[in-house]
Amino acid sequence: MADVREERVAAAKARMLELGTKFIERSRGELATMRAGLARLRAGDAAALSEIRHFAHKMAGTGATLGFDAFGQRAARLEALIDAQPAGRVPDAEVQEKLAAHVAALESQLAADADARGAGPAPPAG
Amino acid sequence: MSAPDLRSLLYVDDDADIREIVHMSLTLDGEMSVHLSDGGERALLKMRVERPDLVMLDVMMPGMDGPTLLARMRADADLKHIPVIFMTAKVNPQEVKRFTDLSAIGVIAKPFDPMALGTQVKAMWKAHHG
Repeated sequence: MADVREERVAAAKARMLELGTKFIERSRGELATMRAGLARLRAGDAAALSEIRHFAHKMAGTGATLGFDAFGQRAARLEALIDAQPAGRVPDAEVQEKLAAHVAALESQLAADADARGAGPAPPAG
Repeated sequence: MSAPDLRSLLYVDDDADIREIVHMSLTLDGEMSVHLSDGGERALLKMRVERPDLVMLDVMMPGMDGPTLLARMRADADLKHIPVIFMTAKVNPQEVKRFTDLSAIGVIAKPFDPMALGTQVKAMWKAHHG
């Protein structure tokens, strides 16, 4: 019985590693979408803020559960910054700069995590 | 009175990776059936079909969030008796009180330790029946 559990634990840990690789790939795409959201915010589209928040929330919860602690914490800080903004309004330029800095920090952290896991660099854009 | 065995559970979350991790975590001991749903009306339908001993709900989901799902369960004669545990990234005393006031038997913080989740859930189940 204990052997069966150990086998299941080993299989679960191996699958977590696979999910981690998948998470890195997906997060790259989501960070690109967040960047596009920042551009839409600058153009006055307030709805982009809740989209950025949606991805930050997912990154915070899933990232930390998969062992991406620093990345998850950075995403949680971005989510908290968005939660502190008045709903339905485009944040001022100062807040937009902070949002962009958070997204940049997430990109750097994800690149470092990908290196550490041997997941390779992001493919070139275009 | 000892707690009845926890034999089946439904976990509801819109995040497919988290659903898979929760499933792996809760089936490590091979003691319970773990059903999964991505939320909304599909979750309520699955509860009616599977009749789980316990439901675990993510709080923040698009469309119908966890507290709304719980309210729908409590208004449904077939589902109102099923104990509920919430999973959330925002675990502070006010939020925990809000969820227990809604009749949740426990709140588990995200991120969670996949190797310890089963123990946490069983402890809440036992405390509920204590």
